[in-house]
Amino acid sequence: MADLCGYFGKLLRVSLDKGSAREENIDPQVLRKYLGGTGYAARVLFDELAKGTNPLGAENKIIFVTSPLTSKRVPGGGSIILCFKSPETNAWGESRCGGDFGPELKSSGYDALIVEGKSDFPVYLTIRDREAILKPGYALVGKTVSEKTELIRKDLNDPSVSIMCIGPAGENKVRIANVMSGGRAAGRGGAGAILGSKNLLAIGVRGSQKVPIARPEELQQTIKSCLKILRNSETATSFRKHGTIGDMPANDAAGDLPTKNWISNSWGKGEQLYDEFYKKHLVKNKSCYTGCPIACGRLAEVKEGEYKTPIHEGCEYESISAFTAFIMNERIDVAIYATYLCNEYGIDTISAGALIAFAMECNERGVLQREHVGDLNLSWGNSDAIVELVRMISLREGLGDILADGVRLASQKLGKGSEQFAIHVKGLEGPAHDPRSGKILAVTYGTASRGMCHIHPLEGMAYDSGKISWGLMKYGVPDPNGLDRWDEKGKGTIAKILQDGMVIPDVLNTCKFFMYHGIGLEHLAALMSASTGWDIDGKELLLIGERTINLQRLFNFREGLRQADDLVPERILKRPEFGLYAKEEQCVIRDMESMLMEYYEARGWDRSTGIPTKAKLRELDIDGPIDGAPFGQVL
Amino acid sequence: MKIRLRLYGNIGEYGNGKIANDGTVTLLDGVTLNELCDFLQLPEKYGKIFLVNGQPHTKEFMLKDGYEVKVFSLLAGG
Repeated sequence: MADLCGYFGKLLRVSLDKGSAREENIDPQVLRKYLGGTGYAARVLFDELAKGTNPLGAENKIIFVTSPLTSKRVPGGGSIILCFKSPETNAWGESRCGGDFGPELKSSGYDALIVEGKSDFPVYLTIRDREAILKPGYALVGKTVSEKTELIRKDLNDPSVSIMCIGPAGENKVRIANVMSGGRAAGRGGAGAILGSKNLLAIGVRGSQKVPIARPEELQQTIKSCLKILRNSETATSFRKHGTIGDMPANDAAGDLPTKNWISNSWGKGEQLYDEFYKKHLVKNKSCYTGCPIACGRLAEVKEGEYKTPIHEGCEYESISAFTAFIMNERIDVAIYATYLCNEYGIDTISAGALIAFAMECNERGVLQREHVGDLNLSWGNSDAIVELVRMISLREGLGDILADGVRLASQKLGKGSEQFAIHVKGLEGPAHDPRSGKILAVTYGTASRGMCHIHPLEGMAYDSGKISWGLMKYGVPDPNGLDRWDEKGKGTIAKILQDGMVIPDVLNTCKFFMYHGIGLEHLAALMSASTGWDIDGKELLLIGERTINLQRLFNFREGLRQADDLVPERILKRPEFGLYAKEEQCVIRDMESMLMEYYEARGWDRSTGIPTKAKLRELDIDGPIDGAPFGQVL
Repeated sequence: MKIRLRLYGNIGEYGNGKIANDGTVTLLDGVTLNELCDFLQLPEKYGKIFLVNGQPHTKEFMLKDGYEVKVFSLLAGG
């Protein structure tokens, strides 16, 4: 292979038990096949993690990974992907975080950082231009995210070093703990608990290395073309003005706003809540990484009152929906304050809201006893309980200690039928989109590698209700305007192509939202081709997406996940009990099994087991062992 | 007939010059939601959800004087 472009061809491996950091070369053939992000990480973790690895044990590894497009120059290129075995799901875990950390890691001279082992004492890691140093982190213990960030910047005498760190929740190994960076979160799946279990409290990076680019002028021209598309996009303009939280009124109207722990899919208060946010609490929009041409992030505050909150980032659609509709809280100031607390303690806002909704339903149904609740009033929407539970979960106090393990384990511990209203897939709590608004979402929720997440299944919802084809019609996706959102036939097949295409932003570390605005696979392929010198087209990206999903599926299969783990909770198959769609029969998911069978068929997976067939693995050129034997002998 | 109309999200600007300052639009009797979209020149490519007097309806639904209509276009942010 000619000289590698677009990559440094190097990763940094930090072994905390040895207190060592060493550079390793990356096999260019692996990069060519998996490109980067969640694709490359799937290959690494499949090969390096043994079956049955304890997610919170020293043997788990977490990889921070970039791609050739991880760059502040590339539209949507400012992000980092974290991949790991998840303590929430005991299966494939990944989490994306927008911001400068990814580009800075790349500029420090590495395509990826692998953290393994466990330190005997708290440490933090700094990486500056291929120099990695582990430093004692005693002073950081117990500090909030913003306190840690400030302390590290002072310690390094560098006010703008890019930092990812955990909060107290990560230190307490709360399974919904996130990793924060500059007001943004690698939120889902418990990456923060893994860093906490390793005694690694933070990472600071800064770099000035230039990665070789194969065809710089072509790259510049392609970036210009992408920026032009974005400038002319109505949806990009709307995203800049309203952010993701601006979707609340529409999603509520569409039956896409899970309400009262998914008893309903609409609330009728989305418009009022958003209007109040926009008029009273929005400070201004903000980009997650330096130079983003869209800047959909929100800076918000609560100026006065009991829930006074400083200006902070984090009022996204998911977070605010989780702290309003999920738990029947009509006070936007409380929701803003709760998301702020989550970001400071370092827990995932979606899972936190979902856990509080679960606790409130447990309370209503008599599952919780005085020993669990104490003086806490867990009535639906009670402001004080919402805020207190965020703290209790983060610090593992009382009932919070049970909830801190996620809704699946909490329901198993509490019993009394609470499993019926513990809403999750594979152990990951459901986010703020509802398959009763569009049926593909049921398939994508069920089959997404990391469980019921808000990012990967998003394409299904946007296709069905938003009629967004993501530029994938040329690859076999039918025109969404020709299908009803409540149709079920055909949706399994569509889900497969949507997933293969829409995993690519996570393989290339680009922002998925840019694909709303007209940046399709061809543009990403052109950016990749100019960066690497490889001739990549949209079709090849789709193939690499498929390869990635199949390898992650094998990872989960090795961990014991089976077809039953592709099912969504019973409650969300049924007609909502109240709200706009309570009388709408069409929103009921009539035949989940048939949709899954159609999906398996389209995937080339065994219909009876949901496992990739040998023929499919050969076609995708995926190899490796399970239980010491080649795939072909096991599957 | 006169209806009250509000457009949301990325279609919000399509009401400019068509929706009066008091939030109303005057139309011929018997207009459907689909015809309302044509009048507003809302792009077909955007998926739309309609609420009429607070209830969801499909694009074939026929409007009457005094109705309150909300049209949403979905982007579905994470």
